[in-house]
Amino acid sequence: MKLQPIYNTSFNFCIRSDLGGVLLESLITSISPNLSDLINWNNLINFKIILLSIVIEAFPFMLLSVIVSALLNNFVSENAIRKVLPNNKFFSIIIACFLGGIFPVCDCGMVPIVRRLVLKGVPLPTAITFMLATPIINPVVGTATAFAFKANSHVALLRLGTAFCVALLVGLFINAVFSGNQLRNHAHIHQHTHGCGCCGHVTDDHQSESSLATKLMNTVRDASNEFFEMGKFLVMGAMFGALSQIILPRDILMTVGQHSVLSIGAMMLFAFFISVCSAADAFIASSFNTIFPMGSLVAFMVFGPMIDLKNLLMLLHTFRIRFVLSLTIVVTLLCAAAGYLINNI
Amino acid sequence: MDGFVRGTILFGFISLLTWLIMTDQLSLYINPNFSILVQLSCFLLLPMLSIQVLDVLVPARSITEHHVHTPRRYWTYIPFLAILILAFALPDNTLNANLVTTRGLNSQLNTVVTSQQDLPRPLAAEFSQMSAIPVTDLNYTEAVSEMTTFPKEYLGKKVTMTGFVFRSPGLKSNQLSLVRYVIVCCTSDTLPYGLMCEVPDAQKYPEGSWLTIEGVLQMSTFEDRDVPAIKVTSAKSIDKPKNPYIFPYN
Repeated sequence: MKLQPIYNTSFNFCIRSDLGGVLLESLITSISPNLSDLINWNNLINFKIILLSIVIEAFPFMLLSVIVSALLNNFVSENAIRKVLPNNKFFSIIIACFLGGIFPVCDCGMVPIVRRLVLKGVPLPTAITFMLATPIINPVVGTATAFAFKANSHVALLRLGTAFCVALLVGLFINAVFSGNQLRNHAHIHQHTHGCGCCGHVTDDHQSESSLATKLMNTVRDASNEFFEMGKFLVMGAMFGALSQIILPRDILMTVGQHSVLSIGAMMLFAFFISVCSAADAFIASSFNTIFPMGSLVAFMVFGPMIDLKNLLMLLHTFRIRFVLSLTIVVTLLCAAAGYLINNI
Repeated sequence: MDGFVRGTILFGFISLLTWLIMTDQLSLYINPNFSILVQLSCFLLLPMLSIQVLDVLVPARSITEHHVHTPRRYWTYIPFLAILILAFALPDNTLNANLVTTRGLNSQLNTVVTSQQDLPRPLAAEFSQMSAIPVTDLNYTEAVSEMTTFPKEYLGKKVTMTGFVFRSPGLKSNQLSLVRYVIVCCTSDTLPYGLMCEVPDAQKYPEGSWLTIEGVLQMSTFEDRDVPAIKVTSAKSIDKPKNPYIFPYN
């Protein structure tokens, strides 16, 4: 599915026929002599605007998800969750792929929820599949994707279908390879009480005793704690995203976009650093439509919500390093493979 | 002390969002369709702030605390404070012309097109009836797209347009680009989109300044290619409009 770029009135583009050394050279010469030009007032203003834009657009979703996580903690007991999920691991992984229909949560806030679920007894493979699939396979993102690629309705289906396959395969992989909940030990240390200002607590024992009012107040406290804990990663990811939007020059992207394999890698790398929400991903991807082939755009839209800078930071904070690395590698390989397949069909 | 910092940060965010909403600046950062979500955030932040204030004022509520507030803890608040400082301290809430160079002018806004016949042309019929094409905030992307993709159908027609000046490298001394930022979803994925204009005193308009022009569409050359351009008959400098961005899918 190769697309022919259209250069009607492209004022700033130039096409290079060879890659390799030319790419590296153009990257360096584009950025370094201009570095002193880059650090000027106007760019700082643009940086601030883009940074604030990313943070403000992610803000409501981040808040919603820390609240959902806090509600889960205070109102839903372990037993309830265990009863809802099918015992068969395979089926529960499949169901986890579709829970986005009920929980349309942005990927900004997945990690706190997933940690809460794991602590509540949800098996790790199911929880991780949920984490990977939900930010993409939900009505909000599906609509946004269809909207962003208006003339091309099958892009939304491609995105969701690929996300489903990747999430499912990752869930099966984790089921086969890892046992236990893989949480870092210090996540268990903060099992103390509400007033402490740390990341929250596990309250299976005295949950039933508290009144509704107390539970609500504790929910707000937990939400607040998680907001500060995870929110800083959102902000750091947003800063990086804004920076890359200001600095990356367009003609390099043009050169890379011509290459079948490299374009996938470049888009995935871009998705990793740009760290924006899964609804916004679609619009950013569609702006690259004529430069990059469809496979790399789908890889961008599937990889980004699953693993990006801010998610990775949160994951490293929550789960063991070996687990996080394996997860990242497997997701990367699967997304890249999917992108390559789509490019060459 | 911890609670005090948090309370300040929460209060800062509530103030920032409320200020943006009340001064109508929210559309400068995100698509207006999503503004209801931001209002929702303000409401969600309020209980969090209240609980924080409560915990600071009435410390007896907290049960046993046996942790240590090392200075390390306060590092976690730096990103939040940085955002608030940047938001309030820096003036100028709209993107300036610098971003055009990075983003590239007129990278295709429209979606996958395998052949030009497939491109949706919602306003083509209407435009073909008119002898003068007014480019407004509402029809900006369609109008510019029509003129750049099918210039032959609009040659000789009068055009009125508003945008800011940008000098692409390679333009001659009587040429400038009139550009506006098109925002599909949010400011972070903004795309510069515009047309080339020819006016004898083009050099006198500084980059980034806003103009309203009237002119006639003609073919011109740019880097040995035939491209459409507006031959300007009258140009007026204006102040930056309150709504500088275009939101095509509203």
